[in-house]
Amino acid sequence: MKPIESTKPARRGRWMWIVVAVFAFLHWDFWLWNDTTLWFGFLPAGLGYHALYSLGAGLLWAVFIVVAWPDHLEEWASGGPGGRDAAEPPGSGSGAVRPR
Amino acid sequence: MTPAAAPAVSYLPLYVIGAYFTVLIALGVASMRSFRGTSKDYFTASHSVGPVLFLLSIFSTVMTAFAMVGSTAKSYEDGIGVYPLMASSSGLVHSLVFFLVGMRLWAIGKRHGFVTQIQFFRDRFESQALGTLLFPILVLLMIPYVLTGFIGAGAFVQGATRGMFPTVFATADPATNGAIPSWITVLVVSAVVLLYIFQGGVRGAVWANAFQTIMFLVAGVAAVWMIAHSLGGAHAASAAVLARSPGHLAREGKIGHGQFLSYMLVPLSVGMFPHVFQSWLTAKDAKSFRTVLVFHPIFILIVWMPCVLIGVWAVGQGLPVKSSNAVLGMMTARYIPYPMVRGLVQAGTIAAIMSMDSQVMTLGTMFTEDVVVPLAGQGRISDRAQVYWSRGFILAIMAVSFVLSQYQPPNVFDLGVWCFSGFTGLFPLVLGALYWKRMTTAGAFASVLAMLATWGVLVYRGLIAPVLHGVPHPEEPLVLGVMPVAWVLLAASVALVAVSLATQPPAEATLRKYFD
Repeated sequence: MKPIESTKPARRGRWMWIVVAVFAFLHWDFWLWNDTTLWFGFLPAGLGYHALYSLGAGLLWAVFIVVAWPDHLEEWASGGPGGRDAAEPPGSGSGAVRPR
Repeated sequence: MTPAAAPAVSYLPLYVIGAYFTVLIALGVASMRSFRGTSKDYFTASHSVGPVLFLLSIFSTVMTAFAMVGSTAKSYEDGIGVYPLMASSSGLVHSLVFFLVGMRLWAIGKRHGFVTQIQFFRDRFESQALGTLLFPILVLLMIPYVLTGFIGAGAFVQGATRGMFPTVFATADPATNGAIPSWITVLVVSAVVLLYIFQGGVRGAVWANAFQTIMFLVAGVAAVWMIAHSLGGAHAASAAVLARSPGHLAREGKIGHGQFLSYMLVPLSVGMFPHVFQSWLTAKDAKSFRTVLVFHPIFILIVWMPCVLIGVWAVGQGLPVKSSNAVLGMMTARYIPYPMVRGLVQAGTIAAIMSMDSQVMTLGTMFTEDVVVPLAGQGRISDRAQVYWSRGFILAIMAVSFVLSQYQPPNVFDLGVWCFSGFTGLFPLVLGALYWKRMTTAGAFASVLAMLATWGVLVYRGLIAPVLHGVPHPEEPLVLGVMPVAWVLLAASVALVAVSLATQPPAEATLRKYFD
């Protein structure tokens, strides 16, 4: 029988955490603090930058999924007493902890 | 520039909103057909929700009145800085928390059969008392969140229906004359929410939330498009702000750098929202989280950007505003000329406000699972009785929130941030529980108590005391230049680490259960 995988984070793609940290720092757009320029004639610069930042966040997580996805977690989740989608209610066999 | 004349009064938008409510109730009834008859299905939809439905429902659970009514109100007051303060930061941090905390809790919940956060913490720290301490704290923090929905709904509809019923709802104030009073809106919204969640449980809430997400994503884009058109185009709308109040288009003098950086901690709160925990449990598999991680920041952009633009553009039009919470309703009523479209947009806004459904649903689940069943004893309460206890508690919470909403309402955004700051203070608890083997039961207690004490003092100082002294909209009470959330998080983290290191580590068997 194949051993149940662990909950430990995926080892591959650990460098992505550095990318996440750098991206988080870029949120602080101090150079636009007093900028009232309107991009395309209507979009304030500070708002435009953060609209791009939001799109960038989606892209960042898309890359993250490709390079650092923890494939083992699914298998681990299905390995316990409550992992087989049993139809019993919680508290009567679902594995939920109860007071003694 | 003088405000444009409001469009002629039409009752069609109210009929559209009524039709929307009918669809929601129908969804509740339809979801009941999929109900498997067990409390596990009622509370977790039997872990059966696929990626698209999961994305839509998760998004709806975190986008509430705070996102639509609150963001418009806050940008009307403070300008565009509101977007980076909460929206773009949440895009990054929420997905981070979904990955680090949500996926792991989903896996643990599925493997061990947990239905609530408290069940997990009781088991992880081998302590019933920890759950007993957490339950009232989570309820205490959730009530203001539900309250933001009530206040937002009342203010939005009041703004949207101004002048509609001049004889029935006459007031001396032109900002509210002829508008539907907030208490009526709150009662109607509560009744609709109760009807569909009582029908379908979490599955009903998931279906309704997915529908609501589609509604308010479309509503936001349609609203900003049509309002811009009425104002002579987006260029003219922004130029009016530049002429009247250029400070609203930047952050200098409105938001400090310490304040800005510490705001980044507020979205960590999503890791301890009980309703988000319950939504995580509904996922069919871990892969369902992938769509959420990628599209959540983009959906935030689609919802928040229109609201912030509308709030800022309202400044350029010089609206006669009594409460900033009503700005979104007033802008849609005044600048969307077609009644049918206006009704759809307003229904979409109410859709976001009604995301409180998952919040109250979760409180009901927690009450049943963490209080009623433990007190009665395992297996001594039937599934049917559990569901009735849950519904009773939901009714009680909504009644309390209704009463509180009738007092002088604070700014929805500020109230939301206070609420989120408390949940952020609990974030070290869940992070430590998932990733730090050395964390102890005493450390968990110390962290929760430190959060409660720090948050309690700061909330009293920054929100309760000013309101008691007749200041309905107090300024954000920075402490040494940063938001209170930073101090709450620091206190909870220091207490957790210090006490854990000074006390006995947990049993090896418990650690194997979670860390092997």
